[in-house]
Formats: sequence, C-alpha cells, structure tokens
Amino acid sequence: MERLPLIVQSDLTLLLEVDNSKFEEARQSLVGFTELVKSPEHIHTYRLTPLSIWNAVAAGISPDEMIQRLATYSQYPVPDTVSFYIRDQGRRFGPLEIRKSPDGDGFWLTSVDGQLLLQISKHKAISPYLGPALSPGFKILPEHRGLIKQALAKIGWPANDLAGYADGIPLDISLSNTTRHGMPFHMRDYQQHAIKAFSGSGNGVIVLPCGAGKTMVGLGAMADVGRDTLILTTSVAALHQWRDEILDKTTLNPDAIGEYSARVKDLRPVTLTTYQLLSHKKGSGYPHFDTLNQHDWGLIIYDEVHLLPAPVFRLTASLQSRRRLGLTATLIREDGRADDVFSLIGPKRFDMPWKDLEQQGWIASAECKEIRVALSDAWREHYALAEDTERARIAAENPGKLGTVRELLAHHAQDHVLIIGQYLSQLKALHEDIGAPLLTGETPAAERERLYQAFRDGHIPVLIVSKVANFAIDLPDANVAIQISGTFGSRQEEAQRLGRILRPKSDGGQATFYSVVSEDTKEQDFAQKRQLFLCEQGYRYEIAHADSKGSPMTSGRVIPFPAREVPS
Amino acid sequence: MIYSLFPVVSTLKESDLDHIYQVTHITPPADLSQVTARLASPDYIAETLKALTRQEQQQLLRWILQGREDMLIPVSMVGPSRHELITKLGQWGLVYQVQTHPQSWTYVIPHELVGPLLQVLVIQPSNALKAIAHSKLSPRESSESPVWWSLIHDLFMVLSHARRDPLQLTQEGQVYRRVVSKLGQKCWHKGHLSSVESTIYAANALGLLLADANQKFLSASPTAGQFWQLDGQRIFGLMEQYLATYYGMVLQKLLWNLAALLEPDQWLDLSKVKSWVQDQKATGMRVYNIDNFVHFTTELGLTEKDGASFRLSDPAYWAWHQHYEPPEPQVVVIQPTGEVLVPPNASYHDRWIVDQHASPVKWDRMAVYRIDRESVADAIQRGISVDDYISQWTHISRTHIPGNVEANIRDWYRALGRHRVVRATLIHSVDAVESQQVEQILGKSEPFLERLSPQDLIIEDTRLEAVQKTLDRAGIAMLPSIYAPGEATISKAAPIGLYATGHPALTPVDPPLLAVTVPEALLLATMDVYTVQRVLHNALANQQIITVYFKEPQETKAKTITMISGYISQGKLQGVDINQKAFAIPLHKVVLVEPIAQ
Repeated sequence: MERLPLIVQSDLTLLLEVDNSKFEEARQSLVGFTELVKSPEHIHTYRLTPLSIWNAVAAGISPDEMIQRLATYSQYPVPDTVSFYIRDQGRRFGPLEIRKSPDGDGFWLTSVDGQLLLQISKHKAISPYLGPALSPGFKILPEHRGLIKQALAKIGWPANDLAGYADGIPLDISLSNTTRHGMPFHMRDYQQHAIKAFSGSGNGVIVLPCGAGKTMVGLGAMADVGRDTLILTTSVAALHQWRDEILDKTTLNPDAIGEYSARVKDLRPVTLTTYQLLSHKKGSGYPHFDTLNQHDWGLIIYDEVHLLPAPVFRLTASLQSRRRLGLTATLIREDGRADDVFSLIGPKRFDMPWKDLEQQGWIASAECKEIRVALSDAWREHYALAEDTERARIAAENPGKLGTVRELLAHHAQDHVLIIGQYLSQLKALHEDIGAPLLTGETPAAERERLYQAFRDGHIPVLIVSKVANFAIDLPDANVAIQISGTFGSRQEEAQRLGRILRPKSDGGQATFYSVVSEDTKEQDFAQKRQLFLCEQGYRYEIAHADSKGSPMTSGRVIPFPAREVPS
Repeated sequence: MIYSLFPVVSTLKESDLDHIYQVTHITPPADLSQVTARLASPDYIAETLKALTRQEQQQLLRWILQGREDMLIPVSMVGPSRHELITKLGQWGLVYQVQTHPQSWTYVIPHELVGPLLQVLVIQPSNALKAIAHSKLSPRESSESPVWWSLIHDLFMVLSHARRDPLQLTQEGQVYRRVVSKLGQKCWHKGHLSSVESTIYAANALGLLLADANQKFLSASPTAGQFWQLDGQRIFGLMEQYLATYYGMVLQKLLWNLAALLEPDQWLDLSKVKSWVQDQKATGMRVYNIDNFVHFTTELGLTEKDGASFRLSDPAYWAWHQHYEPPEPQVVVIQPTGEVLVPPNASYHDRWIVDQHASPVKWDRMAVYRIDRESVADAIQRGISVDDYISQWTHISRTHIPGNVEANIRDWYRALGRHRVVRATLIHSVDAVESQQVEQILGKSEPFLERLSPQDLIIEDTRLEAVQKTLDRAGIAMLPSIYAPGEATISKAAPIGLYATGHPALTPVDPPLLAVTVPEALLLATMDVYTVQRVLHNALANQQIITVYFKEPQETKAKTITMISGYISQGKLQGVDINQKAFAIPLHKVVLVEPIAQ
C-alpha cells in the first residue's frame, strides 16, 4: 500500500510529498487552513499559523475538521501539540465582533463572552482604542476601526469585522469579450476563483506570480463590485499600464478614468494614483490622501501590496470602511510587516504555486541559470582592500561581467533580451559597450514608453533597464533576462525580475533567466539567498562559471585533498 | 560482568555447538542468531523445564532470585543436586561454564534467558501477577515498532550534538545544565530534561560517548558510527542489555517481562504487583526498585505509566514481540534549496551519513538538514574528497543531487580548498650563519626541510625528536621547550628544579560497545564520572557492599558502605554505612572503590 503523502511535524509545519498519488487531493484539502511556505520540486511545505486558522474558521471550517483533514492524509498520527494548537487558535476567532453601533453612531466591539471583553479592555495595546462602554462591549470611533483590528490580531484575539463597507458610488462597468485590438478576452479559471475568493469578504490579498494576470483579477473585482474605485500603484508607468488595461478589457471609456499624479490631478470614478503621492506629507497632514479620501470609493486596489510603504499602512488603517484588494506576486516583505498586510488590507484569499501555472501553460516555463564570474587579480585586490560598505558594489561592477553578457547576447541573438541592473555606471558602461538602448529613472516618460513599444514591436532586440523596470512594466515578448546586479539578497526583487519574462510566449517557447554574479564575493552569497526563493517556488537553478574576462570556465585550482578513507 | 548469549555461544567448541544444534532442532550450518533466538524463546524454555522436578525448578528459581546480576551460581547452592541441575541446564544450553580467573571457573545463565525463565517459573504459575488494569487510556496506535521513535530520536540527537559540539562537563563530571537544556529543546518531548539526562546515561553506558583526556567534554565515540549500522532489532537488544546491566535485579526483569507479555490493549496494575512483591519477602526484591525502574524506563520512552497503570510503550512492545517497521534505503530527499529531508523510515545508517554531511535544521518526525558551506567545511576536515562527498549523497538519496546543489558543493570545496592553515615547527637561530649550519647538518637526513627566512627553518612537526637528536649528535644543543611566536627571540633561563608530574598516567578508558570489565578495585582519580558510573554499575548491581577510599586526606580514609540501589544519580554514591546511617558521597571525592565479595 502506498504511503500517505503528509507528515505533520510537531512545530506546525506540514510536509507534503509531491510524488504521491494522493498529493493533489491532499493539497486541495490543506489549502483552506494552511499557508503554503514553499513548493520546491519534491516536498512542499505548508504551515499552520494563527492567521491561517482564523481565516479557515471565518470560512466555516471547524478546528475538528482541520484535524480530521490532517489525520486523513498523514502517514503518522497527528501530534497532540498540533491538535491542541488548532483547537486553541480556532476558538479565538469569532467571540469578538465589530458591528455598526446600535445607537447608529460609529462602531461597536462586542462579544457574548463578558470575561473576554473584560480581559481585552485591560490590555494596554487595546484600551486606547476603546470608546465608552455599550453593553455588552465598547463603542469604537470610525478612525479606530483599523487600528483596533490590528491591535487585537497582534494580541491573538482577532475581531470578526461584520460592520460592512461603505457602498460607494455605483459604477457602470463590465468586462469586455474582446480587446480593443479585436482579440477575444475572458477570465481564466484561476482568475475567476481569485475574484470569487475576494468578493465573498470584500477584503484580502491575491497572490499570483508575475505574468499570471493580477491586473485582470483587479479588473474582475472592479466589475464584480461595480463601485467607484481607487487604484494605488508603485509608479506612474505602472499607473499608465493599468489605465491601458482598463480601457482595453472593460466597458469603461477614457472619461471615467482619472490620473492623480504629480503631473495631473484628475479625480474620476476610477482614479489611479501612486503610493508615493498618497503618502506625500505636508506639515502634519497628507493633503493628497485627504483629497482622495473625500470621495465615496467602493473599492481600493493596492497593486504590488508587498511594496506598500509604511505611511500608507497608517493611512490604510483609516480606510477600513472601504473594500480593499491587495495584489502581489509574493507576500514576502523584506521589512517583515506581512502581519500588517493581514490586519489592514486583509488575509490572503488566494494563492497558486508558480509551477502549477507553468504546467497549465498560463505562464512561460523558465530556465534559471547563475553564472559566477571570476574577479581579475587587480579587481580582486580592489575588492579585498575596500571598506565593507563598498564591497557589494565593487563585486557587482566586476568588469568581467561585460564579457559574459557579450557571450550570452551572442548565444541569444534571435531572442528578446532584457538586461537588468542596479548601478547606473555599470549600465552606462554596458550601454556603451553593446550599444543597446538604456532605460533608467532619468529617462523621460515619453521616451520610456517609446522604448517599451519599440521593444514590444521587436524593433529593439535588447533593452538595458535599471531597477525602475522591476515592477509593473509589461514586456510581453521578452524571453531572456540577464540580471547583472541587484539589491543584496532581496528575494522579492528576484521574483519580480524573473516575472518580467514569465508571460506566455506567442510561440510557446521557454524563457531564460540569467543571474550574473562575481565569484567568491558577498554578491555570490547574496545571490544564493535570492536563488533560494526561486528554488522554493519550484524552479531549478543551473550554475556555470566564467573566467575574469567573462568566458566560460570549468573549474579552479585546489589543494589536493588528503587521501583518507571515507567513513561508511 | 554481564554474559550475553551470542558471544558465549560463538566461543563454544565445535562439539559443544553440534550438541546445541541437536537440542534446539536446528540443522547446521545455521546462523548463530537463529540458535540464540531458539534458546531464548519462551516455548523452548517452557518445554525443557518440564523435565525438571518441582524441587529442581525451585532450586533454579532461588538461583535467579538471589538477585545476582551476572547470574553466577550462588555459593549457597551446594551438594549433589546442584551438580545434577547444572548438568541438565548445561545440556539444554541454558547454563554455561566460564573462566573468570586463570584458575577459576563458574557457571552462568546468559542474561537473555533470565526473562523467559522467569516467565515459566514465576509469571505463568502466579495468578497474582496477572493483575491487569482495565484502563480507559488510549489503545495502541500501531502494530509494529517504528524505525524512528522517541528513544532512537533522542539517542541520535544526543550523539549528533556530541559529535559536532562535545558536551561540556562540570568539575563533578556532570553535563552542564545549560547543555542539557539546549538538548531538551531538540528532544522528542520538548523540554523534557530528565529524558535527556537518561539518554546521556544510556549513550554513555553503551560506549557511544567518550570523555576527552582532560575530562572536560563528552563527545561521540568512534563506535557511534558502527552503532548506527545496526538494525532496530539489534539496537533494541542492546537497550535491553543496558537495562539488564543497570536494572538487573530480578524484580526489574520480572516487571519488564510481565509488561511485555500483556495483550496489546492491556495495562499492568502496579499496585497489585507491589503487593505481590511484599508478600514474597525475597532477598533483593524491594518495592522501591519498581518505582525506580518505571521512572527510568519511562524517561527513555520504553514504558508508559498513568497512575498505577503501566505498560511497555508502543515501540518497545512491538520490538519485544519482534514486529519492526522495515527501514527503507534511499528515501532521503535532497531539494534544490539545499535542504535534505530524512523521512522517519530512513535507515539509521543513511541518517547518520546525512548527519555527518549536512547541518541540522530541525529535529522532528521528518528531520531537516541543509547542505551548506559549514557542512562542506566539516567534510573537508574529515578528509572526504568532493567526489566521495557527492557520491555518498547519490547513494542515499531517492532524488539524486540537484545540479545547483552539486555546483554549490563543488564551489565551496574549491573556495575552501585553495588555502589551508598549516601548523609548522620552526628552528629559529640566533643569526643566518647559525641557521645555515643547521640546514647543512639536517639537509641530508630530513626530507621535509624548507627555509622560511635567513634565521628560520621549517621542519616537520612529527620529526622534532629525530631532528633534535641529529643536531645534538652534531654538537648543536637546543632547549627542549617549544616557544610560541614572538617568544623565541627572548632569552629565557632554563627551568630549575623538579616539577610535579601529577598522578602516574592512566590511559582513559575507551569503552567497548557491548561489555565492560569490572576490575577488582577501581581507581577513579582520573576517570570522568560517566565512565565511573558505567564501570561501577556492574559492580554495584551485585556486589552491593563496597569500600570507598577518599581523595582528601583530611576526610575519612575509607568507608565500607552498602549501596541502597544500583543506580548512581547526580554523580553520587548513595548508601548506608555499618551503622545503617544513610549518606551520599560525591564521586569526585572518591579515589578508589573496592567491591567486597559476598
């Protein structure tokens, strides 16, 4: 008899074996109450967390059912500590509720458990947000609704927010069946599932890899809610792409869409703005936020929610009466504030492993290769004698990388290649060396759009871009990315950059992602950390070596090892 | 000395062995383990004992109930009936004659036979001992002894830790509390420190831990690797032998076998067993030994207890009944992330290889390791080449080694293999002329001679003595001292006078895996407490009267005591003196222990 696919560890992690006939069945069963931590090739790791259990209880899965599901697929008995944990966390969601105040003024934190109300009212993290007692419970000021939810989640007693949302101004919007270019358009199954998962609650985050059509999910949510919508993006370029997609795939006309940026302040039923502008501070206030908040939005969309700046978190706390949708490729926040995303935007509502989308053909399959380029003697000395703070940059700007890039471009002469880097001096040197156009933060918007279009149209086979292109640009025909420098060990940057080439290719071809790093330097260590993230998503990395001129190399010299018997 | 059946049978003369084959109805040439399994089977013993008279059975029971841990024949057994009984038992392969001294022989019952003998002589006839508790506690969850369970997990974890980071010992020879606490976080039942301590005792008793020469650390002994090549059956057998050594009293054997003979869903009522013991009033059968035994075996995960209900744990019960989950080869999974996952059904041998070749991340049902730079550095220091390192992973892995992981391994090997720290011995001379002279003299005889500077010559460390002799014969004398860098140029006066050299060197005991010899008198001054405990247990389990000699002259020079149990806790001998006054003597204050033969 085949072994069952699951092993439940006592530390609340769940290991699910991929090469097992019950894998798919078990995965479907776990999805509702666990979080997928990583999905490398052979064994996927899930985790039970307070958030995952609270979400499950909110969705109607009882703690006993969760334990039963684990027992069904577990090769060994479920550890008592795990069962206890599920029951303990499961009972915490539900007793506390936020409702509209019965007296019609603000909100009301209430519970049938008087002891619990007393307990939390004494907690110093909660008491500042409690208004006058209103039996059974306390009144809550509208501006404290988000803050108290955040505080209650942090102390382990999440509130079930049943106060509902402001309706917002109705918007006549639906999805088109054909694009402006006459191409048929319809939502993919997983996008529909994601929209459904969001619509049921009116808040939360959708996690989909780059290229999987997160923007489409946003459009679907807008059509589903049918109310005025504010869309927050990471840059003006991204804002424009949102605008183009809305016009391309919905029934809205240009008059209904406004841009609220540094250049234009146009408030329309669907308004697009940037995080930067929203969090712009003047004196003690946020004038743009205040202006935008005057409008009766029915939905706010947070694009690339993992990049949400800290001030926007604070502002978001006061937006709890609006429906909120977060879109991202990864919930990893380098600042560790994933919990705040849960409290303020909402829990993760939908997630799908990258490899699954690849298998279903929704994103291109990708090969990942890391090329370790040796430092020349002179550059090695430069690196060795530099201050610690300078070493990362010296390693990143290894001149040997230019040779490697030339080798790769010769190899990919028929492809559309995107070269991505962190340091302008390095990118400029490369631009002068290979003659490909360079696109940076200094490039005017019009020139930027022209270069994007030329690249899309195939007039430019190679485009060099700085980190401005990390997010929210659409380069459908790029099938090769060469990363020549990056931000230390940033995993989400690696994911975003790979995402640039994951959109399905018109010829069904494969994408290739190169990461060029300097051998035996801090950069190699950082690259390993970045590499880890993609391996956890199910990608395999190949590693190759180049000499200090960038040409392929097999191995280096080592001291012969002492001949000893290997212990058996 | 504990006598085990297998080593005893394997040293028999051919004619004696033929006889054993005959009585056990086994056709030679058969594996000796088949023979020993047959000899120790309750069916065989029950069948053979039917041929004894009731009086002989009582005599045999008295022999066992004397409580002598090694089952040597007691001096009280005299007369012609003694000879007749021994002859019968010897012919059935139940008693053997062993040489204890050049001129001295005695008769022994191998320890594995004691349990089955007790079953036939005591347990089966006694209705009182069949007192079964009707417990509402959980029924058994499995029907076989798993490969990976609490005892194995904790033993493996302790040895893994001790191999990487030897366990630091206090002045009293105990493992530091903070180390025990750290291990407690990794053990099967998290935070269960007494379980960790019990495991350390067991590991030490099995010779799997070894103290360093300065008695400051316990590290995994070289036999640990051999130990993990054994299968579950052999390891369980060793644990039983360990229990027989340390809890070898007849009552404890009785309890162990009684629990093993229960039906799977039954529990033993300890209160009724205790009543029965009190009724027997037999020498060596003390009720408190039951609690002691139950406590220790529960800590090890061999038994479980709830109130007065007691039984063998699931893994121990099924192991006793020879129902083992078979380990699977090549089930280790290496992920492209560098993580190595070791499933619960992996063989101990594969698991030990993983433990040596990767850094531990998590101790749990599925053990998680990681192949990283540190694990590669460790492999290099153990002299393993990159190809051997990769090949070993390939042999134990179900999934083979992912390309990026292999590339990383080769890169780490290359990065770590380009430079090496080499300890060198220099002959530093007062000037270049003198140094040249030394080089000329040594040049012909020393193959590994290199010049470092005009005043410094490098010689091979191991050739120092030969070099000094050569130079001495050539008329160049040198101080015997070896100086640290920077000291060599300072003129130092030669030491004057005699220095105490300490106690005459005693080679630290290198514990054998299976058996420990008990010398007549134990000189303890240079042994660590663990070694002392291991050695003393054998003596104390039967020679319960001992004379203790103290280290400090101001204390009583010697004291004769009766141990109140065969168990030494917290490095203390606990006993009563001739006036029946109870006290404890810290082992570190003891220089010599001399057992007094009864």
